[in-house]
Amino acid sequence: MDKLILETRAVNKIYGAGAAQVAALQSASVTLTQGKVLLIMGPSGSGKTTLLSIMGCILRPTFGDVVVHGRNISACDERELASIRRRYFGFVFQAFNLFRSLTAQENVEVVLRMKGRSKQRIHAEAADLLDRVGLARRAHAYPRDLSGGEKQRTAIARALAGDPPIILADEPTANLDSKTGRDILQLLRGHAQELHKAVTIVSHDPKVEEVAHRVIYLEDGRLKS
Amino acid sequence: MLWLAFRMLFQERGSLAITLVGIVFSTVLTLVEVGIYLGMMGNATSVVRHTDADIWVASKNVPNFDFMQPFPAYRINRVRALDEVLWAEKIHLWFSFLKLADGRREQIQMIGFNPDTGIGGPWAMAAGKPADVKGGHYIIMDQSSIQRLGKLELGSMWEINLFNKEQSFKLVGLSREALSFTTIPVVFTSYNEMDHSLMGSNFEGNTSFVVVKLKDPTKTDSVAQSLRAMLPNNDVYTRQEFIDRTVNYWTIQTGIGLAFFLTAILAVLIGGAIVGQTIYAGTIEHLRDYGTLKAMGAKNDDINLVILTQAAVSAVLGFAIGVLVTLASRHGIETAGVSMQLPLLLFAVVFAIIVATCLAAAYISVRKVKTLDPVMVFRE
Repeated sequence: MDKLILETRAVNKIYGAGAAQVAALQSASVTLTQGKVLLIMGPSGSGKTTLLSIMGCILRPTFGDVVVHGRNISACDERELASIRRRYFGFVFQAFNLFRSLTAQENVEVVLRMKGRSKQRIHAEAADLLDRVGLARRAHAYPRDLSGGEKQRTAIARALAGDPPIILADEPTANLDSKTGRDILQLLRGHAQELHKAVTIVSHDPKVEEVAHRVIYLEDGRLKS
Repeated sequence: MLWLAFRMLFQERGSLAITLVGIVFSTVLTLVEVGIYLGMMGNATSVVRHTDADIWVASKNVPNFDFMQPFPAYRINRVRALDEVLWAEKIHLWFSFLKLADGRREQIQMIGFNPDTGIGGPWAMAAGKPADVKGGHYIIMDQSSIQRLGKLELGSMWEINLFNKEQSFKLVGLSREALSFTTIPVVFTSYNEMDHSLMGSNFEGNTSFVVVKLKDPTKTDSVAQSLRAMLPNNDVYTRQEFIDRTVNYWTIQTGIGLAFFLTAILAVLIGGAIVGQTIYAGTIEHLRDYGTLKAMGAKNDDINLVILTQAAVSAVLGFAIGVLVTLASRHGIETAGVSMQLPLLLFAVVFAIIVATCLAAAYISVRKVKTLDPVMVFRE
């Protein structure tokens, strides 16, 4: 049986107060299991990114619980949340968010350094990760010299750095052409299955459904089955 | 994280250059302004500092070394009568005029000292020796006067109007580092020669200062107190008191020192503003990077370390370049006749100020990062 790695229990997120109150997310319960790809779909403003931020321990829910690897993180302070993010999560962003002063390899090394890897291992591990996403030959290129697909591959290598069990990807194909987008999705699915990662993709692109093991829909902050 | 701080700092050379310009500007202006101020104060007190005396007896209410008033020279006998006194010497200080070859007149500060002891005389010689002024109309001029007086050739004759008498003096030596606050050339001659010149004038039998050396310098304060009681018509200062009085006069009473300090403070503030602005702009530019780091699990302290390290490294680099620029321009400044003193303590203090200013500027950025919402990394 696939192992449950993350669970949200009836999480709500409310912005503002009084008459200006907006419920971005209402009673959303989601589970993530190892080796599977979960796709969260919905129109713009439906609360996808809010849910992803809560799942990634970046945003605190107004109500409800988030359980990561069996630990309820509701009582955690900012330092503990940072530590949980460092240990359990890898992030892939729509705008890639690579550090422009660093080469592709150094972008991966940043995470390994943050995770306290020994200096001897950092270089070899980063090179290995770039090789895994097919970017070994572009390891020393700066982001400005990489294509959109190469940037996203670098971002995936960075998300995999340090072997986190959960990968959260926000619109990973939005800035890519359709062929490159498909390659990136296959790469994510392949890693979910081969490396037993729990991958969550947020997208409003129906083509992403092809790689997902499970799809949930969000509309006006509510989950639709 | 230090690695990331260095990589980000040195990869973005344009931002680094702007930051360094601000710090170098601040460093150079502060060092030069304070250095010139110290140089001026050094000149104003040079004779007092280089005269090996524990106590200075001057005319009543003398505000500084330069603005002396004559008083009866026989009062030295009361000083010498004290058991604690090892020796006491008289020093003349008068402003007079020196006639140049082209007919122009330049004001000079003439110091008369005892060539047998050298007390009150030149302390560093470029040519000749202090004792050479003994026994005639001989003078020692400071080589810093060349700019004002022209070529100073040993053996050349100079006409000096001393107490309304034109007298010829032979140049027998060149001193070094004897400058006055007012930049008026300093000329040394023998005390007795000046004393003779005073004969027949209203100031006959007067002197400018009596300097005192004690057998036991630890008793300076108590002996100075005794002398104040014995010489009610004179001011009696310990060496340090006279230096402080002179410095206070030029710094506070004339406002010259405050003007220099104000410029130095403005330099630090303007430099700090430039540095603060570039560091803050750099932080805003890297906000997404910092947000990404936070999302990936970096703590605020980690990111603060990046920002503060960059500010500190910029401060050290900018200060080092500023020091090099200051040292390189020092010769040019001094050749133009402006004295500069750059003690190691000044470098240490300016370094501390520059680093503190840069870190304070970076602190504004740190506060911005503290409130940074990592959710922003999901926005395009």
